[in-house]
Amino acid sequence: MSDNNSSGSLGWPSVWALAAGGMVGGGIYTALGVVVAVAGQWAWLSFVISGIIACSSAYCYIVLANKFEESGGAFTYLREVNKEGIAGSLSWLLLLGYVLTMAVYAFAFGHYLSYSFNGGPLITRLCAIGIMLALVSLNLAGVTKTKKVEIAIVSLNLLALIGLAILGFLQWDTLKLVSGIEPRPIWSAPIGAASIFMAYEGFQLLTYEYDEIKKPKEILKPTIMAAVVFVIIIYAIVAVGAVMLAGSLAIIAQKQVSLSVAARSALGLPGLIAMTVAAVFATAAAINSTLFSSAKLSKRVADDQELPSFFKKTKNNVPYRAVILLGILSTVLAVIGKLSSLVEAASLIFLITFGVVNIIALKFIKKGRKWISWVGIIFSGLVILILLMRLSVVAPVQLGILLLLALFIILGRPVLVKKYSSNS
Amino acid sequence: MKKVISNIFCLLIILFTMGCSKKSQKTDEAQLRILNATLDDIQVQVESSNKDKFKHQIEIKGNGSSGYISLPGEVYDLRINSQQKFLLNKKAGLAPQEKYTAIIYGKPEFSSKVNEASFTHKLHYVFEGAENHTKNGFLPSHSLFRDKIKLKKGISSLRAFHAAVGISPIKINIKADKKSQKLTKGLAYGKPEVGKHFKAGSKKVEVYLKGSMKPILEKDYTFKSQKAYLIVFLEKQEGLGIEILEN
Repeated sequence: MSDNNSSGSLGWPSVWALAAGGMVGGGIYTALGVVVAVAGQWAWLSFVISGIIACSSAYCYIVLANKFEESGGAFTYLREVNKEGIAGSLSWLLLLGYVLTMAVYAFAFGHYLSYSFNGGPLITRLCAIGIMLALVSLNLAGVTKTKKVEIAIVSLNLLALIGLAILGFLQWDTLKLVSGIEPRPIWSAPIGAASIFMAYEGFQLLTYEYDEIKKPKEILKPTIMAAVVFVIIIYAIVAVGAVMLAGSLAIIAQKQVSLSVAARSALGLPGLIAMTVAAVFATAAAINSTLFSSAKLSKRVADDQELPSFFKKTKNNVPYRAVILLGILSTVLAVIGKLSSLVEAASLIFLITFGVVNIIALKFIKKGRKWISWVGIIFSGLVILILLMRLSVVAPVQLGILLLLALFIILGRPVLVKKYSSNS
Repeated sequence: MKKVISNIFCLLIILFTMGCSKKSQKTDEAQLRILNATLDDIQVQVESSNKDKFKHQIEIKGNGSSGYISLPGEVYDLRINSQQKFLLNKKAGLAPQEKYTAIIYGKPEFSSKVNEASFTHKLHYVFEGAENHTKNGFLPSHSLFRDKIKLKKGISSLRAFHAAVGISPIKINIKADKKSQKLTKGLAYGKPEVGKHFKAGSKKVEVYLKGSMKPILEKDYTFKSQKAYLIVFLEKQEGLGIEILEN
């Protein structure tokens, strides 16, 4: 537990940078092409709709974090309200979400790096495997969270994105938003929002660091809320600016590297280099943060006997088995997965998690502000429904696998945990 | 930290200045080419959504292609008629300084109304938008490609599209000397293959039906440096064939 004058090392600039960086780190690099295909000229609105859910969820996360004054995110909050069974299932689902997220980031890393030197599919996969290997090794060696480096990467990343958006706005031509595609109706914006929600999941990684935040009760709310609003604005302007530079059809056709395509269209080779540097650092940092936090969560869940004791083992304070296993699973998915399926599966898991957090928070939010929680619950409920419909049409096999996994987690997990607990 | 941020900021200003200082060679014209991948003659009317602005009518023979036509950047309606039957009315944004190729494919005789689409096709349109490449039965359909592709010297870009109704997926290999490279493996009807880069020069294009070891089509072609090509597999009067379109 921490008190309000916690001696944690993270002040508001670090908290802001880590929250914003956690979101922007990988999200926009992979989500843009997917959302432009679905929502066309309304892509920016899709980001705003997803952003509304992110805003209300961020508020609820902060309320709960300050209430329980404990690191651990949704898993901890559910245990605090005596929903251990749901906490266990959600933690497994969340770990699956983190694996998918890291796979998306590794996929993006491989594609952006490989695109810069026109590498083929093999090179792309080798780059993805390489970065996962490197970051798993760094985590195992205990070299993980260097705040200054992370803040520098976030700054570089944000500057690159803002620069790209500004360049796009300087070449304002609304036709580019529908270049080569049929203009999309406004109702496609919520469908776009459903498919890219993952782009906002990053802020909640900070809830695993609650104990390290300086005066969390004072700084958490204004800082994280400011970061989420800032990221919504960044996403919206990049969704317009980047498309203004390259045109919709080019962004969709090369959705894996859409921001490099836009930067190259604007500035040629220097643009491509700048965006590649920003993308590889941003995605690598995002993988690092997610791997670190998810391994920490695995250990925490295992300590509470909701995961097999296999995950408890640490070496030099690093839950090495969790790091290796999560790293391997992410690498496999990054190599064999399809971008939109990975993004959407991760989006579904985070929408469910954020919906649950909004529900828990209802009990603890001040009376006059309960509407914030309701907005999150209603919006995430609707968007989950839309995403389920989209996946059942576009990727029924992947949806089937995801539902089977969810069923296994809900029904098989208690049996498995019981067996392992009695064995140990 | 401040130093890092100020350096990044300087870099951004340099990039920004480079972007602004680029000499402008802007024209407000978009270019559109239409390939008729059906066996029937078609009449295409390209009309800007702002009805007073631009209207252009083209007659294209079966398997024929129009050259690039220049038109003001606008959102256009592409109205396609065949044998006095109104087949398709598709809307698309054509941005200034861009080049596009529209491919019309399918069986015009199967159409009973404008934009007729299967239930699956409509569903995918709702949820996938511009990435909807479901085959829509054999009904007349259209696909739009962007032709403005920047390439390094000595490199050409190749894309492919399967427009042959009822034919199983294909594999296309590009062969030079004894070296063979895959352009597509399992390209199904109505689906596009995004561009891959190849060394420019004389090559043999080999088309295989998926799973077959023997090519059903072979064509020698010289791919020019810094040019993008679209290889369209289609049904011809004399059997199956390919059209290679240069940007």
